[in-house]
Amino acid sequence: MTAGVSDDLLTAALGAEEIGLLREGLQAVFVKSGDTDSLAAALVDLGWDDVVAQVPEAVALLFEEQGYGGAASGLLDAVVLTAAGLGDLPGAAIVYPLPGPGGLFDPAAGTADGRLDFAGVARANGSGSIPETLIVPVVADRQTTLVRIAGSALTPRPIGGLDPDGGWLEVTGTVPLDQSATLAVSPEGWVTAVAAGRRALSAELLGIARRALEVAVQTVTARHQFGRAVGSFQAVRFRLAEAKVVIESAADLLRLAFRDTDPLAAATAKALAGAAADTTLRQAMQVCGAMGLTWEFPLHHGYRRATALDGLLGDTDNLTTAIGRYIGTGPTLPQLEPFGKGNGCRATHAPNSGSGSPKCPAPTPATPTNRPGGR
Amino acid sequence: MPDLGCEPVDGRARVIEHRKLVRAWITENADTLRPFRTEHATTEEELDAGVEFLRILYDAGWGRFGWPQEAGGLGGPPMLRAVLYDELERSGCPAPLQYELLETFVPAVLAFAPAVAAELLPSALSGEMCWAQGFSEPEAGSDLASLRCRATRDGDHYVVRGQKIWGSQGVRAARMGTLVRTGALDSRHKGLSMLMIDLDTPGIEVRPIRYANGRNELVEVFFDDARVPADRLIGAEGQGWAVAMFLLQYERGGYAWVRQARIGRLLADLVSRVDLTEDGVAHRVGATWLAQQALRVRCGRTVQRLAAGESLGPEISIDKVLLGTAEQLVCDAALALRRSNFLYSDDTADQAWRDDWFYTRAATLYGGTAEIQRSIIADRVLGLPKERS
Repeated sequence: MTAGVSDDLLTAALGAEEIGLLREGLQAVFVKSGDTDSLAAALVDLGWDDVVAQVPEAVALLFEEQGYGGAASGLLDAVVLTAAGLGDLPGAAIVYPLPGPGGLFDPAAGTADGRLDFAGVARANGSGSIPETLIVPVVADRQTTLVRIAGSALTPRPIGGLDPDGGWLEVTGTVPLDQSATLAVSPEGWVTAVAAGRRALSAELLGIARRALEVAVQTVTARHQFGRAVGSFQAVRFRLAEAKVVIESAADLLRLAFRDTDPLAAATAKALAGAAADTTLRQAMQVCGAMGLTWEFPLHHGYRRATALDGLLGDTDNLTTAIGRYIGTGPTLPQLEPFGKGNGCRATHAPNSGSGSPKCPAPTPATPTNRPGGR
Repeated sequence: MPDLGCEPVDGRARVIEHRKLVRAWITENADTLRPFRTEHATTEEELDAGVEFLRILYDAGWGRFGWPQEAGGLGGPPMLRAVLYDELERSGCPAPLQYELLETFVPAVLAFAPAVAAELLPSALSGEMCWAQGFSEPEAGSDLASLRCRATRDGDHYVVRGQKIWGSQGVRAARMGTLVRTGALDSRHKGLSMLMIDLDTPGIEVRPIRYANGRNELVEVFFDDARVPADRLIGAEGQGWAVAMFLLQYERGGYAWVRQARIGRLLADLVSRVDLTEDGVAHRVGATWLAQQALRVRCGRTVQRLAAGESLGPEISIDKVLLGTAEQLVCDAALALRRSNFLYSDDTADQAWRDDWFYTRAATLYGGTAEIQRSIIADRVLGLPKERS
């Protein structure tokens, strides 16, 4: 059994054998369960809630296996709602906004003249049914809030689009805001929820990429041309090596994002995971030849799902631009901290905290601790 | 002995605390550091300034933390060194170049020849005796195991004859860690040994190589029966390949970490000079920053794994690919986003960008080319069918 990208994340809390068993259990669940309801039941049987309660990073394993197995579910909504503090809203679906007026860390729909003007997508609940309640992030007066709207008011419409098996619903419309109820979620609550969603999506994207790379490695190892394995040609080897590089580096970012609550970490992980999935699928499609581009071969499913998921909570392209803009706003260039942070070492790059030259030394308050001698 | 005050509860907390202390020291000593907050027109000037800076950091203690006390350091986890480079570069003050070499080479000396480390490291950390590295030869580049520079045992000395090439920082180096052949000419990996050679030994000539950026970034070294004391052997005779491979792990760890900090400073400089309200500019800056973070987080983890005593496998070739990518992206972004300055300005800062652009072309060559790294990943990480030879 191949180790997944989330293994290292979990080894601090779980043994390798335990991770392997969980992974196998999840793979079985995702293969067998056709819809969210049966998936939820199967996860209960597996005791999944207990695992996540003990090891929150196990979310990475869940979503990685969902991606690897090519399954579609409403699990992402559960992660986002729970992180927003709204875990007790059965039958509710999050509406993920298309790129719009929200910020890097709090994507949201806009309002005008007391009306919510909305374009987004949601995941179908249960066996493809339309959710009763839609939870919509809205930005008004520079504040992001979550509003609850009856499903009937926004008339979600099942769509095929690029990823017809993804259970996607198109949600567009204009709704008077007084027809909605504002939920008790702080602006920070939505930022936290978005970060949690981005981590889960990153794991799923990496699961898809891992599967595509496995398929490609198997194919080029088995298939021979010119009397030798296709995978023995340097050009082919280099393409797949490149895929491995982007998958593993995105996995390292995801690992950090599970430990670092800075929303920049989750946004970075999502941007890199989206790029990694895209790169891997393109390389796999090339090296698997025409067979790789047939309907029966799994790569097109992976590409469809990965590209659809990449579009949620900021696609790689838009995230890259937004991150580029964001990192210029602070007094110093933000840097993620692989050695950990805390005790006042955080937030040297709080959003909108001035526009000084990044070359200036960080204004650090003097500490009273003894220092090494000899200035 | 400098004193960190209270001893923090664990290594992680100590690293976090150390970062605060270093940052505060940098802020409080802005006047002392100002002369080093600059670009240099020549490699010689840059290395000379680095020697002065090494001395200051050594005397202040920061340049000794993270190195073992038995070898002139002040102890503590290697991440304390990483934090120093990070904070210097973050403040806009380039870390002395010599640290790049020491991060690569010293861990191998500590592991394979602790007595040599105890004798030679203090004068390296203080900048009195700078080090260089001599592995490649004109006929042994990517195929390093074919090298021919010969060391013949004669009593308690080795007599060295041959040539080395592509030694970084060689124009100001006092010593060179040199991979030599002690076995038969066709012994490949098995017949190699690592010697620390004083470059003022009679019979040694060091010639600068003018690099594509016009600076003497590199040297070639000629050995004409130079007599080197046998106690300067790093590891046992015949163990040179193992020493070199051990060392390469640190080129993906500590060395890559210094470089990512440097890339971060270059990117910060670029960000201060461009208009981020334009989408195309923001996207290019964002993509470059993402590449730097990918490298930073990856090699930061490698630093921690090495510090924990893990022996790393072929997957660290991934770190090296990320390094080459990030190095080149930041300089390419400077070219694209400040094209007229990059092309036509003779300002020191713009000259430095051009110098760095050419320098970073080598980031996909030195320490094993990008092609070698991808072959290692294909063979030993992905398990793909081997190429035919």
